Amino acid sequence: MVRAAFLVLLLAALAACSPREPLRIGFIGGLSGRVADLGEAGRNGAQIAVEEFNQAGGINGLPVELVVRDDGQNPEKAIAAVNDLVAMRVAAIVGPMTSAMADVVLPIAQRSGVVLVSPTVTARKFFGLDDNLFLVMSSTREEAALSADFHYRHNGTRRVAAIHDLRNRSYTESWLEDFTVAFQALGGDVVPVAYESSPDADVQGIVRRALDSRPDAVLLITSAVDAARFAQNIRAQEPALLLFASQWATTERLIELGGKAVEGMVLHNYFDQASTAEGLQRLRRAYGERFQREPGFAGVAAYDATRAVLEAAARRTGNESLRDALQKRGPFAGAEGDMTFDSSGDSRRVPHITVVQDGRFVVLH
Amino acid sequence: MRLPGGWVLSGEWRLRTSLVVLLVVATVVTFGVIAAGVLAWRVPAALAEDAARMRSEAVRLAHHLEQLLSGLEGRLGALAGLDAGLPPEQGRRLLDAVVAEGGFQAVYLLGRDGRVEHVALPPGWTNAQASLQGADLSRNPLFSAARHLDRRVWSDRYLSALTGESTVGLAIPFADHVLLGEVAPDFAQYAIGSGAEGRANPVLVVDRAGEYVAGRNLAESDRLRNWAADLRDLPDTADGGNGAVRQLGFAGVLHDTGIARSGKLDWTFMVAVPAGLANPQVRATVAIVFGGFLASMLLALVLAPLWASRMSSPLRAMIAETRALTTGKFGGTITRGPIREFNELATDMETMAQAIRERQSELRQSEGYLRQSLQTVRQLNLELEERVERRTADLAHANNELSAAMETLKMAQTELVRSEKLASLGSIVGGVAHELNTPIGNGVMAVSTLHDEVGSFRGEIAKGLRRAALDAFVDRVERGSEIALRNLKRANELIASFKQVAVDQTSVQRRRFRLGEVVDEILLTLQPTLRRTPYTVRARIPAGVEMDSYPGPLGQVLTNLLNNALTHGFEGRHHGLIEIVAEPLADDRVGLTVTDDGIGIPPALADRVFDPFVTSKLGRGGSGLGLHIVWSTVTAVLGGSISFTSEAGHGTTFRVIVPLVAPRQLPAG
Repeated sequence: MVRAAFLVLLLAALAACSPREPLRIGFIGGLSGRVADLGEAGRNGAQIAVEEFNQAGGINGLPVELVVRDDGQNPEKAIAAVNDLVAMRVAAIVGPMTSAMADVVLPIAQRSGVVLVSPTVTARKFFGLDDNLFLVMSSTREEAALSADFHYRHNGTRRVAAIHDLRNRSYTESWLEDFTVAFQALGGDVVPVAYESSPDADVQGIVRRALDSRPDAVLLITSAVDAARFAQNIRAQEPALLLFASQWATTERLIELGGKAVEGMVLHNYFDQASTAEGLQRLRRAYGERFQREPGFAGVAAYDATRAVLEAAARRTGNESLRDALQKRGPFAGAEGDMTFDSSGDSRRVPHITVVQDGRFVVLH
Repeated sequence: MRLPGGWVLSGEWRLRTSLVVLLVVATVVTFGVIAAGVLAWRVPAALAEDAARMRSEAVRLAHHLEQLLSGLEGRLGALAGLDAGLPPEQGRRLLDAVVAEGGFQAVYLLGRDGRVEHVALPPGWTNAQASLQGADLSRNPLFSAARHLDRRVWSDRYLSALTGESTVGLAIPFADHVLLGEVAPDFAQYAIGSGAEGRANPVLVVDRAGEYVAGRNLAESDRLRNWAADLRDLPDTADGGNGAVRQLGFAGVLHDTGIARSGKLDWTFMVAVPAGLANPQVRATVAIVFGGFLASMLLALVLAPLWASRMSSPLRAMIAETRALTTGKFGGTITRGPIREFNELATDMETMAQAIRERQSELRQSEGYLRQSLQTVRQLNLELEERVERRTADLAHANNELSAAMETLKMAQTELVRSEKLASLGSIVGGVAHELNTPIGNGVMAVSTLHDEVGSFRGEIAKGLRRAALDAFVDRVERGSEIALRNLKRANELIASFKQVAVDQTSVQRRRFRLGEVVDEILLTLQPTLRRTPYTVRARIPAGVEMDSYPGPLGQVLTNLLNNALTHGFEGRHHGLIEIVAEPLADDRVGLTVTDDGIGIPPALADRVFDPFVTSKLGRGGSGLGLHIVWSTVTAVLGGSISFTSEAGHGTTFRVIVPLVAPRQLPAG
């Protein structure tokens, strides 16, 4: 009898055999749906960072494991995903990629004490808070202010129609508000045009609404796909109207789907594609080899965010929490340069002003 | 040997226990061996089968997809062919028809510059249609590729201009246009679904970059991760043809994965089945085998005791009945069981019991006889005792009589001895008298003759004395007096000897002396006599022999022995040697030997030589008392013993052994 029981146990052990528990980092982002490009790029960037780190020996010789979960840009899915990651006892979570999901995910992370390091969340409301959320990019305020200033001064824009996606309200409304405040402070005028993003959205209707206000420029606080569509439609009617967008739209998809319609569009990019920074070149090479496309800002930001998490985990001593390590043990080496987190876990990294030239994002200096 | 659970393994087991153990062990071992064999054969076979199945599945899936794609391509191709010569309106309707057929979620007719001349969408997408119309898709990579290569191009990861989601696209250039077809996003899922129904195996399709395209029965993490690393360096058989097999991890479990690549889209198809122990077939086999094993062991554990019991119970009955035998209860029969040997044993036991019973009754008979005999014996014993008592009484009586007789005899003996002594004394006296008679008689005769002579002489004188007569007279007187002197001397000697015989024991002197000195004294006194003889006397006396004894008697003994040797031993001899040797002996004694090389003592006299008046010279000078005196002195006075050896013609040795300290004399009795 004893022998049988022992054999059964042995079977079970064999079946469930697993290696030593490595350090786990979670990733949460939209890997399906309309903003899948963001999530995908984020995951890929995080992946490259983890693989690089493991190749360099990992933490105390143990490899780091990246656990990926899809929030599908859907609140329920996001809650399930983050709970799942928490249950797996991840040391930190890279993500989420959008402010809408951050709204949903942060309370859970806060409760369970897990650190969130988001590559691309920039809604203002998340800044300046002493919470578990660490942000890699500056808030929408800096970006919007930069944008407002640029357009008012350089381009003489006075009236802007701002088409913004209510599906990512946290981000878009934050951006819009920051831009409006800055632009109005300068003396400009902003006409908001809200819409809900969907495959069969009435793009033409929205464009008509925007153009009816006779703007000098149209601001697109939308995803790349939508921005491309809007661009196509606006160009059909106004071939020369200035178009500009938030960083959200600054992905390859914009160019793929926008074609010539997006030429000359002014955007913001987290990094300078033409930079000769060794880390950036290495990242673009690895990313291109692996995934056959450009990392985009989401990829680079996720790479930077993951690197920060891993370096903080490696540098912390004794019983120091990862959160403290992130705050105190910087600066952390990113692809393009170093980054630090302040006491609220915020960074100051303002995206460069970028323009689409010949199907490429080119930083304006 | 102590086992856990309080069992003790001694050298001896109960039959039942050892039978149970035997049965269980046999079952377990047998099944174990069979199980091992089955597993060793079946498990690898099952795994290999499954792996091969997976491979062919993957290949089939790839083919299926390619077929579907070919179908779609065909449709679009046909359309492209047709469209060239059709009026635009009709062309558009055809496009719509194609989309309506399903498979494509959108078909764009793009002009040379990449502008959308027409887009056919499923019904209900009116807004999209409107917004897409005229859109610039010049930067669309698929369009660029088709335009550049001027042939049909399939994209693998294509971002839908319509939805922004990734799907598959096909671009067919014709004339100045490009037909761009976006395949419905669930197309891949549909392809998999129709091809791999009713299975629980993970199915995964990834694109060229290793990103998930479609799949079934996959964990979230497998869907979200990138598979490029796992699919590196696939053998060429993976493309088209036969596919390949590799072990990949799905949901953390290693699976045997059949891999096939589709050439058209550069997609990789994977169909997996859990490897090793996770494989359901293997699991089932192992479960069956182990189940069987456990069942057999259980069965053995249940049946074995029963069977063992059944085997050992007749033995137990036999043991009980045998035990009954040992306490004397015969007559029962032993129950038979199914084991032949035990039955034979039972038969033999019964026979033995029968034999024992018979023997017992025989014994009882014998016992009876024995008892009888015992009675008889007791009876006889009693009689015997009585007889013995009587005899003893008789014997005692006889003994008494004998004792009385003995006393009488002793008295008679004493009397005899006394009378003997008296007789010997008498004979001694007689002998003495006899002895003395001769010399005294002779002397008397001689003196009387002298007396007569004197008388005659007187007469002579009267007549006138003549010289001749005087000479004659003197002669006669001399002769006569010589004879008288000789005889009187002889009588003196005899009397001296007689005196020695009756030794006055209380007047003899005792002192301490050295034996050597006494012997030298004796030899000295003997010297005058010896000088006249041709014989030699040699003495060897050790220096330190000190005695506390009677030197006089001792000297006498020695003198007598020497005299004996000189007078008797050397009779007729012209040379002779007498050796006197003393040696200390144990127990504070000394041995004195007097050895002569004379003629020896005649054997006839040997026994009586120490008796009085025993001599070889009776009548010729020997009184026959010498040795008697010696014997008497040695034994009575010196407290020793004397013995002799003699060989006729060669000599005689007298051996005297006396204590160094003579015993105190008892009053002569």
